[in-house]
Amino acid sequence: MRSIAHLRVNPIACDGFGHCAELAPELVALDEWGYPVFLAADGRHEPGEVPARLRRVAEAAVAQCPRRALLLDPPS
Amino acid sequence: MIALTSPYLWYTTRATGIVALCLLTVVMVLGIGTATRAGGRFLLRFEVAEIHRRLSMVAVVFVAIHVATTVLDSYVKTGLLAVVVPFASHYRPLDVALGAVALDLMLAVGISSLLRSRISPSSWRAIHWLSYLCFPIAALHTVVIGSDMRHSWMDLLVAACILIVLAAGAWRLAWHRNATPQGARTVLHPHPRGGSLPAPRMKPAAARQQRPAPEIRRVATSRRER
Amino acid sequence: MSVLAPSSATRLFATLDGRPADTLRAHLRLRGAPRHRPDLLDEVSAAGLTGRGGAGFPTAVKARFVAKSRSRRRVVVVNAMEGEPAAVKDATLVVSAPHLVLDGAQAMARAIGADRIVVAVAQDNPDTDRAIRRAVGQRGATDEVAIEVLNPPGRYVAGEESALVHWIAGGEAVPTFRRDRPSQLGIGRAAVLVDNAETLAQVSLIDRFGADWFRALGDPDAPGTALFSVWPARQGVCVEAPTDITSRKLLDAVGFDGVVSGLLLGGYGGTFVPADLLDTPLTASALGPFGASRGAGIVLAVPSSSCGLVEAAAITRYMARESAGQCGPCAFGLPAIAEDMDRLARGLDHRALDHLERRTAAVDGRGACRHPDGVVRMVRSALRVFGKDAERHASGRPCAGASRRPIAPTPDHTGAGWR
Repeated sequence: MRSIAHLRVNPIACDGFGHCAELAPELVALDEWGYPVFLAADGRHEPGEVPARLRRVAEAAVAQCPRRALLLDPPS
Repeated sequence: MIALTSPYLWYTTRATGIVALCLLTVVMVLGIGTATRAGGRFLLRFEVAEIHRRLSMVAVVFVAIHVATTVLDSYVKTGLLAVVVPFASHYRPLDVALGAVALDLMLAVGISSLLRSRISPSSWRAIHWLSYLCFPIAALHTVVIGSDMRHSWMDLLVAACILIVLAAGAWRLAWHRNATPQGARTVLHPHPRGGSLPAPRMKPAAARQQRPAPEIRRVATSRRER
Repeated sequence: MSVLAPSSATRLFATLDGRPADTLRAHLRLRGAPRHRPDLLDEVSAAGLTGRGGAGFPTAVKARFVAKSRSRRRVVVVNAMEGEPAAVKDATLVVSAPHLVLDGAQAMARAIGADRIVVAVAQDNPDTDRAIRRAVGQRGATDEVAIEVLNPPGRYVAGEESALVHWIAGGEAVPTFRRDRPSQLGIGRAAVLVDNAETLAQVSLIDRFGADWFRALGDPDAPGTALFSVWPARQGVCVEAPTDITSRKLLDAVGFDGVVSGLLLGGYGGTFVPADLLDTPLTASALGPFGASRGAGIVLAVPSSSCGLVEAAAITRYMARESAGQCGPCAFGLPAIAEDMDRLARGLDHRALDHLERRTAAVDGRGACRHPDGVVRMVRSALRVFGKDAERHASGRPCAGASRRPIAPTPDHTGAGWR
């Protein structure tokens, strides 16, 4: 489980800007209030898991977050 | 001291100055757009933020040229120190001082943004608020320093810049009141392309057997990797 | 002077000449002096004591985690906040046996090397505050570690560990984001151990009478006695009982003689269970299969003359008001769920059940603390237990009990602020 990168969010820092869902639509969607929900990538991973193919996209989303609320845990 | 002067230096100073003010106006508006979560339908929200950042860098370039041509031009004896130290200029000390203060604030905002990953988020935000001080001072600098060479179109342009930023500021105040319901410390402003409710979490095996939940509408369809 | 270990289930609430031992002299006459065991944590571990604040985490494990911290300083925080409106146990304990709690705090401070003890009593509990300050005053020089009594605001989440520590450290009484779990809480450079007041009172008894004595009563997996807040009607009663007591025995002890349509166990973030569970011991192993737990020891009876959905709706509305408002899904999801529950209870919305199913899934696990998770658990259990009612309400026919005022207390704290 830990051999794959994981996306997490700091829910206190997150203020619902929604940039993450725009930059990484296969990994992040938004709920009815505008806050991020992690998706099951490729239909076969757990929500929040980032396959290698989407690693760059996840990193871009993390870098762009206006509140620095999105976190990427690297594979351990 | 090289005595260097030329009408072209003077034209460049004034031209880059006014362009910088116009750019700062757009940067302020886009910054307010970012904060008020504007965009999502035609221009994506992160694009608003991205353009805000890039245009601010262009504005810095124009300010740099404006400052350089002013200092180099010996017709107006400002001196190098007056660029950042208020009242160090021989030529029109107050008017130049306003420019120096505006530049200092711009540098603070710009450098803190470059070093954003190294400073705490609250420090970055506190410094960024200084941009609301920087713009009026820059606008005032523009108004008083060109007072002996008035053109009506330039007056109109500067007035328009100031009014636009005032209007954007008022918009932001109103937006905050609306978007922050009683008791909430975070904001309610759903993305126009965002989804409704996510389907309950499913194990991957179950997910393969079911069609993807229709309630989540992906915010962007295919975006090329940046 | 040696004192016989209590042989009945009245351990915490033992009396001296029929009165609670709330002065230092009476306390020492009743309990004897503390033993000051050097191996206290081993004894607490052998006793199997688990936290009495609601999470039920093994007390010795938690203390050892803090003791191992690399900080040079440590602080023990006595959590007597009792943010749960339906909880009356900590207030009762502090008023009748404050010295037991303070002995436990001193023993724990010695065991982990703490040089500071803070007792947290909510601002809106003046009786509890007065009792503990009087007790601290009576001890004066006899204490090894100085005890400080502080009063955070009386909000529901202010009693949550990270919120409490955040407030003591100078911030607001709202939960903080903890990157890893378990993570060490800190005040400045000191590592902090937060324990419930009742837990520490049990620690002081273990110090005096040992692990074997402690294990003589209660569930083998979580032994000893525990304090329960029992609600037969609109007034809560504190009862001390072995941890394997049943709800029926508790309700009998407080004189309830009606018919129950359901029970709320644990707290407002706990679980509704059907009346069939009246004779189920309130232990983790017995309640686990039903998704319930003892939690903070609350047992609230929903009489058949009331409507369980009305109770759940009132509780949900309270919990929504008490959100710290920091995390979007909680700040906006809980009021939406409360609205749905309200419309369901009043029979106004036939789609309320669908909305609730989706919104509870949307909110679960998406906050920085467990507040929204608790609400989701409670709401889902209410819809399960009162399922038939729910169907009827959803089709526009609320039951007769729907017009009764709710039993569950829902105080309005919104003016209190977070500092």
